[in-house]
Amino acid sequence: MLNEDTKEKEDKLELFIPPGPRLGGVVIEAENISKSYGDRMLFENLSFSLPPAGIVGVIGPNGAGKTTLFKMIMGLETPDSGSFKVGDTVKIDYVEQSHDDLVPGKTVYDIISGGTDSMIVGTQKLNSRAYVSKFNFSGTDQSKKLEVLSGGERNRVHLAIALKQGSNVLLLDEPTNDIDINTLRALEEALENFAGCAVVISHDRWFLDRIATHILAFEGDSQVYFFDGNFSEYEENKKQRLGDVQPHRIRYKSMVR
Amino acid sequence: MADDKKIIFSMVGVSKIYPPQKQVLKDIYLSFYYGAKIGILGLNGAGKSTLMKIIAGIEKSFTGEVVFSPGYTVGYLSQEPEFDKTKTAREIVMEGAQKTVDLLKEFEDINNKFAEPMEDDAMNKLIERQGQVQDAIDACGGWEIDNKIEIAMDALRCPDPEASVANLSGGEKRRIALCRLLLQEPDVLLLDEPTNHLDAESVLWLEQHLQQYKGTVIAVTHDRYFLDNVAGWILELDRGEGIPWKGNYSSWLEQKSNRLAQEERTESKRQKTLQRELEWVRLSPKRSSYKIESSYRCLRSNVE
Repeated sequence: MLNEDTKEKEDKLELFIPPGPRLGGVVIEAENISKSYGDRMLFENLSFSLPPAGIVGVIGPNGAGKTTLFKMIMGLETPDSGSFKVGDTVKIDYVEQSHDDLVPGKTVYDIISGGTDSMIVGTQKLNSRAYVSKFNFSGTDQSKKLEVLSGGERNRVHLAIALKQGSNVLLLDEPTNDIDINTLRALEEALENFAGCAVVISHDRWFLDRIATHILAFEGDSQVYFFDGNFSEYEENKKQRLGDVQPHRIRYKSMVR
Repeated sequence: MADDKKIIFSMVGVSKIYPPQKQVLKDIYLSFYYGAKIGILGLNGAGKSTLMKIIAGIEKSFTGEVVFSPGYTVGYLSQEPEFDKTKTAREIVMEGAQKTVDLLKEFEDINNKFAEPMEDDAMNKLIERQGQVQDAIDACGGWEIDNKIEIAMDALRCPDPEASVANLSGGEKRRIALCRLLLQEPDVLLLDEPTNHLDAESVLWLEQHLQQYKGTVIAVTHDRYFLDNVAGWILELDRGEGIPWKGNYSSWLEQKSNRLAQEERTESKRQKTLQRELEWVRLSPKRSSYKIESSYRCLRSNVE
């Protein structure tokens, strides 16, 4: 059963992320992780501990290893050294950036609901149309075929599929790409009101400033910096540490000595 | 839409219907002023890209007219740029500086000619031409062109200059196209989602570049900091209408929230979501900048 608080949130929000089981103290702890591809060192000795109720924004240039980090947490890739410790209560949902698994021919409604009138979202039974509409799909949009969707619409379909399971740790790979400002706002509020921990790869500074409690920054030269604060605060901190630097192409530490 | 009083182009009764009868733009009358920085907002399918393509002269089937003042140039960044596949990244970017490249080439040719024997008359003419070319290169900062290109390519994290464009990803192509367009410096710069595929720091660099840009910038973007920091105007596309607002994103949000509250007797979830974002904007310490204060003033004068 849902408690009052959850019900209240659901009435208030445009987009609502169903809660998962209660999260214990240990979420995910990375200990001295190193990973390389060929002669490129993506990162070395990366350690961090995910905060139970925090939202971690993951930033850095393309190719720095952000998606690889998610894949390692999910066990889809293995680190060269170091290990991840995952808490007993943790239930992870991973929303990938590539949406290759959306089968053409099916409608938005079918793929999200599985074709049934009502569905179990987390621990709660919901009307399927109502759940799908929470992701900004109006009645006519719900019968759109997957192959005609825009990038932003595909992003929302993916979120809807992933979120229906009810989890307490979310790994989101660029959910802010190609979506309009209305959906961005709704997603910000959904994450702010989410009881678990969310780790979000994003380039959207407004989004990161509004919701991130921590920043995990891939700063180049295979260095990753874990910071307690939002994006603007991180930028200030970075200026103090490294000076006011122009952005550059990503550089990697060479594996060859 | 005015920042100073020089009109660069006007849209006169522009309408666009996608068959059979989806009207995306309805009878739009707008004038754009030189140097204005305009952000376009609207839902998916509101006609933002269509409007850009009409201004760029790429979309030709529409009714009404786009009237340009003579002599002005237009440049457009599309969502999926295409290039000559035999070229390298650097060669594509260099296309944006073609005029400078031609001048430098001529200067080099003149210098080579000095080594050859010639009549005094020819020599004098050559010296005169050398002076003209030198002035022209001085005027456009042409001597530093290599450096300028390298800085821009690096800041936008373009791929290796020698990489063949045939092998680049969508994001890399867009970064190269943006780099080429910025070097070209058209009077009207049309950017369709310029911040997509750019990371936060490259976006910051782009913002600073566009703030100083002499010409008119029109951008479709969902990057709200970009809209706050660069845009002096917001053009909202809503059910075919173009509604201009003088001010940045934060000030637009304020009036939009007020307008929705007036339109709807019962407060909708959408309106509440806007209201909460506005509350965040007001509370955020970084946002108490000059720009926001000035737009509040602008809002007050609208109310009075």
